[in-house]
Amino acid sequence: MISVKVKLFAALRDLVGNDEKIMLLPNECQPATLIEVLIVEYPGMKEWKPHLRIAVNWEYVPLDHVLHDKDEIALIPPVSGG
Amino acid sequence: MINALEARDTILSTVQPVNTVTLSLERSLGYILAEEILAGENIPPFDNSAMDGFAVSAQEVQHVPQILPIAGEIAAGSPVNARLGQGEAMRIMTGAKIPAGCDAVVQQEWTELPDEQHVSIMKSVNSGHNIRLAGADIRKDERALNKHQRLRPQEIGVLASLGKRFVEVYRQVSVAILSTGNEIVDINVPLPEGKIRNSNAYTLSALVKDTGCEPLMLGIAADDPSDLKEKIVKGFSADALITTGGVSVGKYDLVMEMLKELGVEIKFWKVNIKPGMPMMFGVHGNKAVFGLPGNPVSSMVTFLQFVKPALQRMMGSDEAKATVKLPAQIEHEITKSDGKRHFMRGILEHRNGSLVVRSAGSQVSNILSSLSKANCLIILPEEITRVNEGDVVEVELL
Repeated sequence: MISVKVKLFAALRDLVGNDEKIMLLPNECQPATLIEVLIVEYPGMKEWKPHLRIAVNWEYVPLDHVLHDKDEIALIPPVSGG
Repeated sequence: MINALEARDTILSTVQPVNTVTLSLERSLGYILAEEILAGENIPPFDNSAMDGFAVSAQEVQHVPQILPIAGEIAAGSPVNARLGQGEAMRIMTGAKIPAGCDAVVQQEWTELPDEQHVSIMKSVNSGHNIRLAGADIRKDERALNKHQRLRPQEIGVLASLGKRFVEVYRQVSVAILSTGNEIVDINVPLPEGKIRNSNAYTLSALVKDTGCEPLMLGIAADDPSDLKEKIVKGFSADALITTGGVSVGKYDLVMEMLKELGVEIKFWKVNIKPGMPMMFGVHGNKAVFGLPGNPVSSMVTFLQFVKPALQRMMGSDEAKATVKLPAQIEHEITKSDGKRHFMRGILEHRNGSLVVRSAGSQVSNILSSLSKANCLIILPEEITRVNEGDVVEVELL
């Protein structure tokens, strides 16, 4: 089991009702799994899933990146505007 | 050993509210307000009619029946700044703005219509009749809501009336829950001989949710220092950590020793109460750490008496100071001689106009089913040695 801190911004912060969330996840977990866990708790997250960018410890990572204990994961929704 | 009230004071003076977050109004239900809300405008914003009827000048309808010409109609939501001429009436709808020159609304039921242009007022009214004054609900610049107040549906309504789209609230508090002991197995496996199920973590998780916080289940730590250490460290990532241990002193010591080794500053251990005596409170940085006894009843009673008020304070709420205690007549005598504060499981009923309470059965601290039957805790303070049938005792609702 790993413990990670998920930072939430903009619409996601409002969806979860918090700007950060501590999550306990299985070892070797990937961001894709983390998002699936969040969707179970916050079904509104589903519509954001295809659009999210994921940063781990302030660096963008792909969905299959392996997460580690104490990672800080930022879920960044698309920035709108022209 | 410290008394319950001192223990509670120690906890409440140690823990601090978490930081705040701005949420949209629709998401803020159940959160605790972190700002004072001053009304930027009057609610209602203008004098308006409380009924469908006719806007009049009260002094012109003192003699009834009085026939007045109908000078117009004001619908709710209409922006018209109408003016009522002398000797006239205007048809007006509930919620519509009161026209200048009008100081009363005669409800439709007290009127008759002799023709389409006239109304006959059948009952006289006083000035102010059926008029809701601007600011009668909340006056401009008045404090509408207090900081530290929980946002219930009615507060959401007040905020919406004031046009608040976003509110600053204390963020959700996370609480890690760790069960300890070799005898415990989780609920998703068949029960091996000699083992018991992990009921405490689920009860505590439900209590944490019920308080408005987010539980994080750390699972079960066996009596193995490395496993215990790993899980406790994970627990420090939450705002608070609750451990629930086995019954034996030796096993409890293992948790205590590990907490100390990991830098937890123990504020107190053991409180002069029954059940729940071997309860621990400490801090790790700004994280609160609670070691609750393993007996299910002790675990729940100590949560309600000590952990819940702490979480309420961390959530930014002022509710911890306001636990409701009710007086009730006890139906049977109780004696005690240990000088402890007792929390007995009780059944409270309303009978012949008064509250009466009786014991919910066995008060042994491993009998969880008696908590399920109970609807209150009967509180017997330290100095009490006996209560007789008919004496008044304090109870807290469950």
